[in-house]
Amino acid sequence: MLKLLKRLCITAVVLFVAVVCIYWFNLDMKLVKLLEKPLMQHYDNMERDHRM
Amino acid sequence: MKLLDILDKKLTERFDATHHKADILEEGTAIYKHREWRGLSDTAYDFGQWCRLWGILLKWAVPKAPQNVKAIWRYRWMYHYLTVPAFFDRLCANMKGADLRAARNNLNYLAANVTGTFNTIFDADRNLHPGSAKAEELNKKIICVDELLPSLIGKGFPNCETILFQEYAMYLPSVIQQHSPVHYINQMEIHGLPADVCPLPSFEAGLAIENDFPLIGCCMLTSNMPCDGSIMTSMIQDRRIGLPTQPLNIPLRWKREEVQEYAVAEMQSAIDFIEKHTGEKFDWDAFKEGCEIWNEQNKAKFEKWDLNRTDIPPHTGASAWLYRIFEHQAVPGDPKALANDRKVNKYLEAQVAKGICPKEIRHRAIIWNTPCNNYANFNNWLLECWGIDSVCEMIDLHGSELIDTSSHESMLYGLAKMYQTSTMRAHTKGGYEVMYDDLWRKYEEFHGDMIIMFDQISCKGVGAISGLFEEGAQQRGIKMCIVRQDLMDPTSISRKDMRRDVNVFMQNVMGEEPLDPTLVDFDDDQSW
Ligand code: SF4
Repeated sequence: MLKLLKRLCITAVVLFVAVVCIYWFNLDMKLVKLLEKPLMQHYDNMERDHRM
Repeated sequence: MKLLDILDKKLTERFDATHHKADILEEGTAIYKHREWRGLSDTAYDFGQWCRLWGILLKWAVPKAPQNVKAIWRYRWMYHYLTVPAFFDRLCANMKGADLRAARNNLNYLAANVTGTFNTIFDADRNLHPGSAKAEELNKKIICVDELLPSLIGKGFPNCETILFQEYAMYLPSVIQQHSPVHYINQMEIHGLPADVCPLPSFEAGLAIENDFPLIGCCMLTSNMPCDGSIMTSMIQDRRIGLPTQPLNIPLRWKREEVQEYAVAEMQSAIDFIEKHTGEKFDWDAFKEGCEIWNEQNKAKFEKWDLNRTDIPPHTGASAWLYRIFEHQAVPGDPKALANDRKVNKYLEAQVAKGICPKEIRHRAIIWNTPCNNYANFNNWLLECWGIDSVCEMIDLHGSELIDTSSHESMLYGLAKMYQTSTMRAHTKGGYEVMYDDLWRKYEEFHGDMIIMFDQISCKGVGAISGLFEEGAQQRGIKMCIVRQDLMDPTSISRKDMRRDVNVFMQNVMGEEPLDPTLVDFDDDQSW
């Protein structure tokens, strides 16, 4: 029981530190920036029905 | 406690970027190398609110993951919503104390509401679910309205959803990502439509031409608001979308009593139209409840204005005006929005009562004319670089008359009045007394010491009287800085151009040195 609690505590601390790092180093937005180019290429290559 | 103070001091010495902000921005993209340090307690608060935002986004994305991935794959503008955390960071730049708390709560409310609406839209979208009987069933209870029409009328149809048709594909992306309109404006021009129209209706026309609006709803209320460009784009959208449509004609000169009878008749005819297409009866009790909540939302806004008139203006910038626009247009009558207003006001009142001002203010500016969507964080830059706080903004001031809920007639009258004083419309098309006279009144009321006047180069109505503003400021001895912008087209006037207008004015007319010299000239052309 004590072991499980210890593991849970360690996991929580590791997760917390990881989330703080993502926040502080702006890693979420740096990842989204990497998606920009391939996604824009995909939108440009989509078949479109242009009509007025 | 002492240990925390020491830690705070050490971290502040190491990470605080006040007065050299550009050092933590990546060249070109202006993405933060690392997020801002605001002191221990404010950074911890900001971290908590960032976690809350991701919680909201995941709560939306995960349960309907296949549908949401399909939506991102299908719609170009959906990519821009992935950048929302960066957008919120920009609008909260340099904020501390109650300002930060108010901004983060407003923005997170917005995120929760918009993601909820995404579920309604994508569940019913005929583009994502072609031929789906389930989607068709949902569409029977979706009323589409032009984004310039407040959704309050929908409170009388509690079994239906009222969706601002262009809000989610056009308006919000245009403030979240400065380049989002460019592709659609190009489409409009490629198809031979005039290139000198305001980018807002151009963006809408481009979306219609490219079939990039979600196809939802059983009927559509369009309108003549805010201007001639919008009337033209309504026709293009109407052809493409193909829903039964009724234009709701809103009188321009809303101060005049003689137009009110017509305005009320238009409201009644809109109700009849919706009843016909949804098969629902207008519920006056539900509508009354919505109006009463909206009145309370409005009163909460009046309190915010009162607080901004003090020496410690606690709630300024786009997190205030964007929230106001959204509240007026998309969520009038929403109890959750009212709860957020009350929570935010408590933070603001506490700060003013304590007499604490966590920002460096050199000037109290009145910001006049429509703000620039592609530079929503312009207010943050003004404050950080030059100490100019936007204590009052024209765009924040619309729709402030309370609705008398004592009878059906008085409610319809109040509703008609609210629609006439809609976003942009109230001032830019409301006549001389609201666009011109009101500026000098607000200057006195909010104890301004300068005016930032947007010269929105495509807004011809306001452009026609720009000389009068200059003359008026000169006669009154008021310092007025004119800033060119093109609403949502960064290819004609960039953020850098806008900053240059302010820099030249502050250096040459005011003879001042910047608070943050690194922000005077920096490259953010590729920024979202
Ligand atoms: S900014 Fe001016 S031209 Fe553009 S939509 Fe608004 S009122 Fe019309």
